[in-house]
Amino acid sequence: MSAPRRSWRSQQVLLSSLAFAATVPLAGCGKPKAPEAIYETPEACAINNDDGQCESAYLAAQRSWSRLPGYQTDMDCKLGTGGNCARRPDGSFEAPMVGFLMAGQRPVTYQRNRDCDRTDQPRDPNSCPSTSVGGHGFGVSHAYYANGAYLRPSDSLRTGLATVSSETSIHTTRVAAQARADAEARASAGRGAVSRGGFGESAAGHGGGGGE
Amino acid sequence: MKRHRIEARSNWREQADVFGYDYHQFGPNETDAAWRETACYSFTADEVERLHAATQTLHGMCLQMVDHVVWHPELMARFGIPAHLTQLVRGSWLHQHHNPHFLGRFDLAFAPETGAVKMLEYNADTPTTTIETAVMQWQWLQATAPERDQFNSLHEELIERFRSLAAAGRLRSSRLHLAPCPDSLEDYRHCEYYAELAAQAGLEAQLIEFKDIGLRHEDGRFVDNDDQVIEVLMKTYPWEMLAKDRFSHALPASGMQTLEPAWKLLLSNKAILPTLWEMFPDCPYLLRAQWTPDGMTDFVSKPIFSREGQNITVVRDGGIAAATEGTYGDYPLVYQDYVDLPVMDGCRPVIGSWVVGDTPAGILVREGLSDGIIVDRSACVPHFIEG
Repeated sequence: MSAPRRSWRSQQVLLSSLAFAATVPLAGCGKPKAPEAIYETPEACAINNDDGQCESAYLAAQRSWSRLPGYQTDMDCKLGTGGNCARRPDGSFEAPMVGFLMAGQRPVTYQRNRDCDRTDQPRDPNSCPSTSVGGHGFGVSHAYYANGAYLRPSDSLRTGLATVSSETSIHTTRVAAQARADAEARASAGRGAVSRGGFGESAAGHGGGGGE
Repeated sequence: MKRHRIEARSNWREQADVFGYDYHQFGPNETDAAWRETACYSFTADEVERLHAATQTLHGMCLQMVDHVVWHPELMARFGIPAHLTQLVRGSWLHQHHNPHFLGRFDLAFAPETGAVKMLEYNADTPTTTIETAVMQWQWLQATAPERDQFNSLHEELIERFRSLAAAGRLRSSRLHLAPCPDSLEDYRHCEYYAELAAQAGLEAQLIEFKDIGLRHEDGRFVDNDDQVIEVLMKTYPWEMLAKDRFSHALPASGMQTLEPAWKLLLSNKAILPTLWEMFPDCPYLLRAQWTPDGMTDFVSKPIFSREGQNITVVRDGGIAAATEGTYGDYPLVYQDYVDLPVMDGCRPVIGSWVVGDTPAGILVREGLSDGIIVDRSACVPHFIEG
């Protein structure tokens, strides 16, 4: 299927359009109504925000992250984060913090600090910054925002934590239980064994291929 | 944009076979072909710029939308993301560097009289007509009017995307496995084409059938026929189907990188239409779209997951004007304002506008039926740029 190709078609069109797009953003198509931003580094954050706020948010995120209880097993951690997990000194597992969130001008870290939820002791203002979403700090790979509160569906997998009471957390707990059952089944099946035929079966109901 | 009636090359079928485009016939008659070169379209440079700008802007809006949806579980639910994959979808987005996207194709309505561009949908997971765009229409131009230009860098951009992802360390391996949707010649040919492009980018590419992908019990990793770990899987099998397969539960912990990544489940989803409208209600590239048809009299209903024009209903003045059958009827519907596509020689052209990575990469015109619905048999028609 190799074909002799010209190096580029319509290059002038491309270049002039890029220049247009860069300088004259179309009204209504630029920023969404409720802007939020996620940054991997304070430097990336500082492009659009105040340096100090970004640094504070980043440090708060790191503090929250380090205080969060880890996952009991590597698999639980992968299920909870989708990321590469590493063992902590206390034997638990955790994925690296990959960034933090700036909601409006108020920093919200990606890692939720469960201690911020406790009502039986004063909150640490450093790790529980006052934010527009209820005073929690949160981690990127675990948390999400719903109805004015951040939930952590994977918290049920963490060591020493009770299951968060939410529909999603129940789903996740079920998924985790299923993953554990799968892992046990794999272990009992013996090392090196491979199962096949578990992909592709859903195409039968549709026909005509998977194109769109 | 103008439609021109022209003489087809007498040997276009033979030429198509040479390039692996051998799935164009859907019936015994000469006209039962999904490639049509008895006509072509011309665009002015200004029109191409408009399409390019719209594509660039819409793609950016779509990425902002994904960033919004992954943080809102109620939206994830509306997008029909299965519970066991919500973390994978969210995690793949938040770790984008290691979960890069590859390509997509907007379907756009273009009104040549006004220059207005409206997004119909975004085919961002398993877009087809890559071969028709990158190879067939380019070969047509070279054979018929090589002095002319075409808005079409798809072939080169795809190679460059493979190359740049590899160079940036964003692919987990230089060895790709490519798996087509089962029992589809079109999908198989697309995987062959991508394999060749990957090879041109210096990568090793190997085709595999989905049914042959193995789940290794020892460590939960996916392996090929030779029990070699699949580090990177490029697929033309839709995510929403993959999500229903038994092995999907093993995906999050498998470490397998997929092209497209799991977050494309959100973009190849008609639920983007009302979501984008809620986020960008003033954007002229969008048609009003809602979760319910309340207050709409001329609209199109679409299942959140549907392909190749299946289960589409067109409502005009409150009554059904057209409808297609299909296998996606069980999914929730979204509702989008009807837009009158231009009629040219009795055909209704829809612009397929490609994005590779984050770069607009060309267009392909498809001619809809009289009702304007694009289905898998809708003819692909080549184009050139005037001047």
